[in-house]
Order: sequence, then C-alpha cells, then structure tokens
Amino acid sequence: MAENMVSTTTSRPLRRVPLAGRVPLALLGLLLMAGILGPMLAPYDPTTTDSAQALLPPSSEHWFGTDQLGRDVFSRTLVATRTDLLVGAVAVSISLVIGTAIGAVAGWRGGRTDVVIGRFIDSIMAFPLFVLAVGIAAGLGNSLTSVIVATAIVNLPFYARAVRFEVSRRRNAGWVEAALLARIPPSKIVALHILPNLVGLLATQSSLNMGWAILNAAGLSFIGLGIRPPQPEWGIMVADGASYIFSGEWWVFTFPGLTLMGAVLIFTRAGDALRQLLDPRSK
Amino acid sequence: MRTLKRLLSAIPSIIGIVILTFVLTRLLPGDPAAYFAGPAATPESIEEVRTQLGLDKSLPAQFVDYISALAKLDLGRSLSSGQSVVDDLAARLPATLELTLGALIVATMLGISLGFGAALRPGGWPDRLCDAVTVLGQAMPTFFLGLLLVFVFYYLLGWAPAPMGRLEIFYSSPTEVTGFWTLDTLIEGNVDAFRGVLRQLVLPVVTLALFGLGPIARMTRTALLEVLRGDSVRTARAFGLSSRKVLWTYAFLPAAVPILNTVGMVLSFLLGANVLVEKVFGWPGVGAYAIESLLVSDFAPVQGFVLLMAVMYVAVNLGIDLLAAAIDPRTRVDG
Repeated sequence: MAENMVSTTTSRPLRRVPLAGRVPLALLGLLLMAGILGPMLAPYDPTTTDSAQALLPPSSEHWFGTDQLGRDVFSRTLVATRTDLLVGAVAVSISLVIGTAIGAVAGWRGGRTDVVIGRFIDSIMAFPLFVLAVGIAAGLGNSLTSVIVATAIVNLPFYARAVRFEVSRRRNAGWVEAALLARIPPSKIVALHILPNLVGLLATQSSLNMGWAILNAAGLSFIGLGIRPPQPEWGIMVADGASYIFSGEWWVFTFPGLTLMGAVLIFTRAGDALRQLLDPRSK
Repeated sequence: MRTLKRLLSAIPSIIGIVILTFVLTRLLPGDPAAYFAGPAATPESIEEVRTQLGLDKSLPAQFVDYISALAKLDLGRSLSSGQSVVDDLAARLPATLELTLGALIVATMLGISLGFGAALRPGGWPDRLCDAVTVLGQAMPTFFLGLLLVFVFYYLLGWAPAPMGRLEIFYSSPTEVTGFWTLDTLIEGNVDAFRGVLRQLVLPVVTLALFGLGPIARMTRTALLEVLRGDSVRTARAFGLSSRKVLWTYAFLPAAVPILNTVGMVLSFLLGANVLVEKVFGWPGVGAYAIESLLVSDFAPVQGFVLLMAVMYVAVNLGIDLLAAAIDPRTRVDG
C-alpha cells in the first residue's frame, strides 16, 4: 500500500500527453475567430424578430432552434461571442494594468505604502466576490460599463498580490542595486527590468481570469444588470430561455449556456496549458 | 491569547468593509438627492431631501452619520416594500442560510469522501471524478446548472417539485421558530411538510454544492497524500497500528486544517453564487431580495445585502480559524 502511494502525482493521465496542452490553445484560436468574425458568419440577423418562426426546435434550418421572438438561436449565440469576450477582455485588461501598477508600487516602496495598499486589497477580498460585484454594479448604475468595472475590481487583488510579491522579492537583488547606483530611476527599473520577468505569470493569470471574468459578467447580466435586450449576450439569453423550460423548449437556454461554459473551459484550460508551456517545472 | 489576537485581526477587515460599502453608497451616478426626491421634484424639494439625507454635509461628516446609523443597525428603508431594510433582511436571512449551509454541509461531506477515495487510490475512479468535478465547477455557470437540473428533474423526469420557493403551496408554511423550515416543520411534528421542504431544497442545494465540491475534494486529496507520505504515518505504521487508526488519527487530523481553510474559501463562493441560485429557484432569500430591489433601482436593500454578506463571511472565516487552531496541536503549543 505504501509503495503505490509514493508514485502518485507523477502518473496522472493528463500530464503524460503533451497534446492535451495544445488542444485548448487551438480551441482558443477558434473562439477568438468566432468573436471577430461572428457577425459576418451568422446565417440570420440576430435581432430580427419573426413571430411565425417562434420557438421552433433545432432543425437543419435553425441549428439551435429559434427563441420566443422567432430569432435564430445559433446566430444570436455566435454574435454574442464578441460581446462576452470583449466584456471579459476589457475587464481583465483593466485589472491587469491597475493591479500590476499598485502591486508594483506596494512591492517596491514597501513600508506604509505597502500596508495601505495591502489593506485595500484585503478589504476587497473580505467580500464574497460576486456579491461585491453586484454591489459595485448597483452603485455605478445599471449599465454595461458598471458590469465591466465591477468585474475588473473584483479581479484586481489577484494581480496586485502576485505582482507585489514578485517585485518585493527582487527589490533587493544585486542587479537592482547596481541599477540604482547607476542612477536609473526606480520607475524605469520596475517597468523595464523587473516587470518583464513577470510576463509569463501575468499571461497565465489573465487567461485563467478571462474565464472567470466572462462567468462573472454573464452572471451579472443573468440577474438583469448591464447589457440590455435585444443585444445578444449569453447570460441574458439563458435568462430569457429560462421561462420556456416549463413548456419544454429546452434549446432556448441550453445552447447559449453550453457555449458560455465551453468558452470558460477553453480559457481556463488554455491558462493551464500556458503555465506548463512557460514554466515546465510547475506541476 | 491567540484567540484574542485572531478576534482582533478581524477588525481591520470589518473597517475595510464599512469604508468600501460607504464608498459604494456614494457612487450613485448623478445627484442622489434628485434621485430620491423622485421625478416630479422641484428644486426646493430636492434641496429638502438633500438636507434630510444629510447629503449637504461634508464627506467625513456623512461618513460619521453612516457609522452612527450602522451602530443603531439602521440600513435605511426599502422604497419598494416601505419597510426598514434590516427588518426585510432579517425576515429573509433564514431562507438563505438554510440553503447555503445545506450546500456547504453537502459539499464538505461529499468533498471529503471523494478526496479520501482519491488519496487512497490515486488514478482510481474517485480520483478521476475529483478531477472532472473540479473542471466542471470552474467552468459551469451556476445559473445554467440550476436550470439544467430543473429541466431534467422537474420537466423531463417529474422527480423534483416546481422550482418555486421553499414549500409547495398546498402545504401550509410552518410557524417560524428558528426560521429554518426543515427544523420548524419537525418542531411542529409535521413530517409531511418536512418532506416537502426537503424536496424543495434538494435541487438548489445540489446546484450550489457542486461548486464547493471540487476545491474541497482536491484539498482533501492533496493534504492527505502529503500526510500519508510523512514520517508520522510511517512511524505509526511501523508501530503496527491498525490502518483505520492510522488513517483517522494520524492522517486525517493534520489534514483537517487545510481542508477547513478551503471550506472557508468555498463559503465565499457559495454566498456569491447563492444570489444566482435564489433567482433560478424562486428562493425567497436575501439574494433574491437584493436583485428585486436592484431592478427597480432601490439601492438601500442592495447595500444592506452587500454589507450583511461581507460581515457574515468575515465572521465565518473567524470561526473557521479558531476551529483550525483548536484542531491543530502545533498552534496550541505555540500559543
């Protein structure tokens, strides 16, 4: 019994297959293409209603069926890709930039600055994050911008903490001191010499975060915040389809829901793959 | 001493929460006074509302007002229900707690069992199930899973009752003693209604629990494997102790502390996901209340809800830390 306990973590099936890392990266490319080309590829207009075609089950004409207003669910799901990815991408970029900046300041300056920033980050983390996102989105008013800002703020701590740790770890390195002696300004040292070391870490974190940001934003629009109908968005489409469960029209909520799940899965798996690619030592 | 220290360490979190929620209340775009005065307001009545709300004072003075209102447990009034927010929240909190705690208990028990299975036979089916649940839990939107379960178990199979609140209408709701209807129906001795309450609980609890399951199972697996490989377990085995005793006393107890911490983390997630699950299942809890208020631009209840959730989260984490300290002899000796 003791022997087979030792040989545990090395023989996990996923890790033996290097291909497993490439599949999510390829799918990620496909997803991004869908986001860029979606509106051009959609077979039907995503917002044109046609009551004669309402709630048709999936067929060769309407792959994902039609919704209560006769709109093609496949076209709407496809077109929504851009909205959902954009919301996630903007939110993640904001948290990446601001989080990195305040993390770098805290890590470099240390002392009181570090304590104040640390407290701020801790206060964000003291909330259940989705609850805080609801609160922020409510406080800013019901708009797409507030959904993005809310998502960005709740993601901020992950970047700030990681960057703070990595910067403070290098703060007293010999080469940093040498650069200081050479009168290179600290902002330049941090931006040009320390942060480039963290690109891999931040890329990985961002991919993982994208999935979470998309989920968070879709959750907010599911409860009625942010994006307004008739603009297609996965969270709203699932919310709209929910009422038709009771009459058996399952396709209205299922397809956008599955797509949302697939997109999140792709981002988290691609993040894992990226981590293994960039840092072979990590498990 | 150590306990006291930990209790005090929650104070900065509470201060941070209070400041952040205060900032949230001041974020409202436009003029809050004009907003609260309503669409038909004249400039004079807006000024009147401004003075009434204390919005004509300086920000620090407003903050002091906010704190003193909080100290009196005054979170304002809900515009839609006309009641004080504290009363509204108090009336709905038990429904939310029953759901969240139910899910936390289910997730913890299943998660630990699954993690145990995975650690004892790595690569076996519990291990693979553990991986699958983790991946699913990361990517599955809470609200989508809830709706899928409703579709399958209510519409297709007819096993579950309609997702409409805590009890189907043909039961009379129990007299509230604890507010937990599972307990209240038992106190009344109404076994039928108790079954009804349980039936309503199953789907939302399963929905929520699935998201807590992954992290708990994973942590159990990792922590147990680490302890099982360690010297203490080797020594215990060498002394010829039964494998059951080795597992429960020498392996599980040291692993319990990281598992407990994960349970705390999972709770944060459950409290958030709760909002979505309450909406899907028509559950009359604080989350559904916050959403209803939000959609009619009634903000005091939302702010009260956010504050309540954060305070609960801090309190539970405090409890978990104290429990962890009680379990782990190392922290006891050091203390």
